[in-house]
Amino acid sequence: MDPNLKSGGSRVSGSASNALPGRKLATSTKPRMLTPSEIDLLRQDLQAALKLLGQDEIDDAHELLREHGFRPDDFEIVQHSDPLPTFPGAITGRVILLRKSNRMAKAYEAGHGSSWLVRLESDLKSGAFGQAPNKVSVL
Amino acid sequence: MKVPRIPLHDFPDVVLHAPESATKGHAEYQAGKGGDLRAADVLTAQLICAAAVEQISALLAGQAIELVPIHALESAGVNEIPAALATVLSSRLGMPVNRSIVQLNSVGHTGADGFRRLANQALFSGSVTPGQRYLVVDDFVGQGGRWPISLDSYIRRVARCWAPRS
Repeated sequence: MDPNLKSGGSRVSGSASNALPGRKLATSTKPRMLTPSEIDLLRQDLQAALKLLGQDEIDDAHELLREHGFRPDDFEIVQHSDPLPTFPGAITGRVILLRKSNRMAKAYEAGHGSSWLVRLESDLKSGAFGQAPNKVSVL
Repeated sequence: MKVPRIPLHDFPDVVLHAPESATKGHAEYQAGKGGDLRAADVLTAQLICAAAVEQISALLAGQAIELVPIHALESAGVNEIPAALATVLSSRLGMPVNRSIVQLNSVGHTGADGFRRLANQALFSGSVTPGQRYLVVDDFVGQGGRWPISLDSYIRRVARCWAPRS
């Protein structure tokens, strides 16, 4: 057997790698084939990496929260990507915004073509998340 | 190991989002390249170029394509930057992302010279649909050996194998 090849099997396919996709897999600079279990983990990691929201949208949401007097760290953004689509399409799913201090939450459809940030702004204005602690008047 | 190759004909130019120095000098680069999803997201958000997105859109001219991030285990861990970029491009351009193609080997290309890159070439596995067009998303182009040649050859070879026989 090529010394660069690993035999595969249970030593690298454990649940620790599943629990932390992307962090447990690492290799040396020596070229080698991945084991079947490493390839499975790599695919799982890819699924986990393809999130619904890019960081730019999360930054925009935080900016909206600040503009309306809320603290972004008082909110949790939970993303649920839809399962594999039956036909090819952009990543879609739901975003749930939870205000931690009062447990008020709203869900939005997100993904390409979604206007969830517009609806979030509307909800912030209408008080759907309660009163903002740092409400400022905008002329 | 002999890597199958198919000639590149009419292969479009690469669309770049940021210079190499800006990317490699970014505070989140090493972490994103080593498996940190959050770092890869931040790097992508800060370096993605609106003009480049428009350029991709114009290049595709309304064609239905699928994004293929190069998902590979590298020396520092799983490189999460291509998947982060594919996520943002999917949102901005409305394109699906291939969720199955991964690199089957660790090639040690990061920082390697040209000879080593040629000697150790990437192999891929995953679902390919005959007739489908693909847009490959990667964090860097060095000599272009990894994706234009190796991945393109994989996609075309598999698609050809799966094409109905006349």
